[in-house]
Amino acid sequence: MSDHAPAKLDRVTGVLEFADDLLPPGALHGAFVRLPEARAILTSIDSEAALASEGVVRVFTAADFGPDGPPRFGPVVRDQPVLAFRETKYCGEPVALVVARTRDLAVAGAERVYVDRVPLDGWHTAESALAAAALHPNSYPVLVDRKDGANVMGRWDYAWGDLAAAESASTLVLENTYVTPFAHHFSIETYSAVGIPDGAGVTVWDTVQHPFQLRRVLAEMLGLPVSEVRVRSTPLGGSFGGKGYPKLGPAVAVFSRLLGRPLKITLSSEESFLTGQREACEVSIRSGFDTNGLLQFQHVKADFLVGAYADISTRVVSKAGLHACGPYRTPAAAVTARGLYTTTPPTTAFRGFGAAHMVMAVEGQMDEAADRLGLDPVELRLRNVKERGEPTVEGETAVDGDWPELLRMARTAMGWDQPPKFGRGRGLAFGMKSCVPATTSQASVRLAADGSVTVLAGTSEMGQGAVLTYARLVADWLGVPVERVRVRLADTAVVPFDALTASSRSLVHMGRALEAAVQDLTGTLVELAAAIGGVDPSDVSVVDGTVKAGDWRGDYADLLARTFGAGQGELTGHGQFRATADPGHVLGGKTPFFEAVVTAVELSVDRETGMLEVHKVVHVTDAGRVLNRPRATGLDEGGVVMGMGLALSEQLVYSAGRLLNGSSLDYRIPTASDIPVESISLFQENHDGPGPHGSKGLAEGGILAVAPALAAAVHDSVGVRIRQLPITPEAVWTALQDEDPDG
Amino acid sequence: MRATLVHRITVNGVLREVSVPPSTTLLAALREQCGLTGTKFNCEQGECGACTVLMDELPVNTCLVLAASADGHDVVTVEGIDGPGPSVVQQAIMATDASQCGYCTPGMVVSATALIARCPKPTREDVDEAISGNYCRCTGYESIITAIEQAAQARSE
Repeated sequence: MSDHAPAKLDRVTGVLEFADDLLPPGALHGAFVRLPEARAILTSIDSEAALASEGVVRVFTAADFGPDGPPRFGPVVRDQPVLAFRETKYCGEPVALVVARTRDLAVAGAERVYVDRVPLDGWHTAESALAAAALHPNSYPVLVDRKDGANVMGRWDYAWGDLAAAESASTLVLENTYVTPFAHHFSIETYSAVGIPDGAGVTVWDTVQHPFQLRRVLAEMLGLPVSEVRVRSTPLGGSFGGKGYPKLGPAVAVFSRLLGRPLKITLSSEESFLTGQREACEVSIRSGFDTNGLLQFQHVKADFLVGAYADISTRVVSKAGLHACGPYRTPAAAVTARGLYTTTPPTTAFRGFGAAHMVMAVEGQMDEAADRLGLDPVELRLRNVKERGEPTVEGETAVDGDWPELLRMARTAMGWDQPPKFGRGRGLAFGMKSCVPATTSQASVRLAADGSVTVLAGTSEMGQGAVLTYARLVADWLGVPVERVRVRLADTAVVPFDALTASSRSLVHMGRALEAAVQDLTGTLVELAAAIGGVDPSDVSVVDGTVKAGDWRGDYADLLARTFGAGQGELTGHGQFRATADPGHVLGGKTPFFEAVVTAVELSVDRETGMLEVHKVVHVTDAGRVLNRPRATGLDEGGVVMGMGLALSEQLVYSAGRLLNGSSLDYRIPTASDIPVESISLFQENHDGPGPHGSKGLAEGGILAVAPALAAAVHDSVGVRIRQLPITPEAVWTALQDEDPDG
Repeated sequence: MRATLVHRITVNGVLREVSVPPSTTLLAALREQCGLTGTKFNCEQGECGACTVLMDELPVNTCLVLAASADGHDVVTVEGIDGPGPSVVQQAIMATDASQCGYCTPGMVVSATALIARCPKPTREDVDEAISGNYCRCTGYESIITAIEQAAQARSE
């Protein structure tokens, strides 16, 4: 238990308190009323029976608000009402909130709310979204690009080079469509939040990744100063992007204030399916290669189906489009990425943030090109992949790692040059993703009179290991035992500002902010010691927690006691890290680093049933430098298995916008029996990242390249190409029956 | 008011009386009546295993067990797994870094404890099967399986 044991002990003993484990005194419980239809016009809502139901104290509907309806929220545009207003726009949108003494009684009351409505048709495909009438009228803030279609949330175009010339230089042109379905994060913890009226404002405890962003959204929605809103992120029982942007926080804030009492809402697992989803995506891609296998052009059209409200989809779609061509030299390209509204729950961030859809398409094309040209798939990629320092896309950060080496590492670890056992096939894919640009992290490091240390940071802990890693970094920098460092996270009234816990950014951004805070604190220690020792500050040494200044020497506690008197006072260092903004960049700035990975798989296919068995997975990540090896390995292993779930079994099935399988019985995530027989995670460590000690973020990379690697291995094994996820046994079996195996 | 029933359940070695409506699950009784929140809520369908406890030494999903069914039985939650200090399973999970977010961990600890109690030298297949009813979305299971194998070894030594 050398490794900052308390953070681990709390988890294995069940002591760690998650949101649903908390209940403030006097709290009431809320349960939403939802409709099964994709859309409906609300005619009337009858709350009488619910109000007469045991323990029910209040039923809220849109009628409780003014002519503009319930307050609206959103991270980019305030388009989503806390309760449906006049109509539901997606399957499961809340239409009423029943408040009762206990959650069970609230749920029972919610079943007694009767909603008269006129069901409307819904849609969940690009074709139907483009044909349907506008989902959003213009009576409230809404993002829509009507010149492209009534349900086009936004469109981003990127182009460079001479496409016509590149096409004529191409001897092989491949044109395909790759489809990924809606998916669910399936954190084992559901969504849960508590709102507590607090003076003129409100305190919210929420399963939310970004407490400071929720604070801003709540302040804007409620018309409050930011200082009147306090948000605490409870430890997250998994998130993967699903709990990033505001979900339950706005509702508990609004309704607890109306009640004048604390209000807790914990969603069921089935409601969580209706609350956070990954966008579906249809990518049409046309790629040209010359006879040497050099990529000449990419022509990409990607339609992202984003659900009924914008949430963070503008960022997902614009960013995915920007890096759609992946890690390869692409002399000419035209990329169009669109977000289309569908009558499905709002989609949101999901590990990879749109990148995985593009990786699936580009890597599928690379694999097929290698096959058509008679080249080894690794060799084809090595001919095209960019080297360190080469530009990525215009105005963006250049290649910041040794990308060809990632391919070679995976090739070696897989034993690629030796043929696989009979009946097995192999596939490999490269995945890359940029990090959120132009964000700020601030941090404080407090040194108490006894020399123990409190770290204050806005990061939320969701299993990525922030507590462990920050404690180790700060302990190391200050030269104190890690047991003397306590990390406190994610309470906006306590910790300094942090933009987001997202995009694998915290190790770099918060790590550097902590480093600066320790330097600030050390600077103060040196000044105080210099005065005590009567020496110049440049003659003070601070080594392993011992301060020497002239004849005076002591540890931090000695220095504080000498300065403030025994047991009094403390010193605080502040630090920040700001990634540079660039108004000319479509995303607002250059990426601080890239996540770059290569995944290789070996599998066999049962031709009778279409069942896959994954024998071996090799996953290589450019980590810059690994600071917590077991956790980095665990994040990659976990990412790969999540990627396998998304590639092989997970899909949300809709019928005319109605969700058919939104439950843990019907939506299958991997179990311990579904994992690869052998799994190898490797890291490239060139100490070249912007984070502490040359580190880079790595928490999303695991899933990026799994699906195309599996698809390539299926082709290698049995000769069929699957371009639509998930690659179910049925899909493989059906493809095997096809006369044209490459069709 | 709904009628309530009084159940006598031995929880972590202590006889508890819980007074709950007849439809109350053991999960709700443990969390809300006994204040034992280490047993976690999620799917309510017996799929995810986050709510696993031992009932008469066998793992059960408390979301599917009525409190009434536990009347007269012996229930051990994650809070009752450790003796003085963490158990071998808990130590092994910490040592192999097999808990990331920690939400599935109590259920994993309980399932693994039950396995090792009835099968002191489990094979990899035994381990896979024992936790196949416990979802983990973070780790990819590899480190958890290693932890359970190490715990079994440590216990048999």
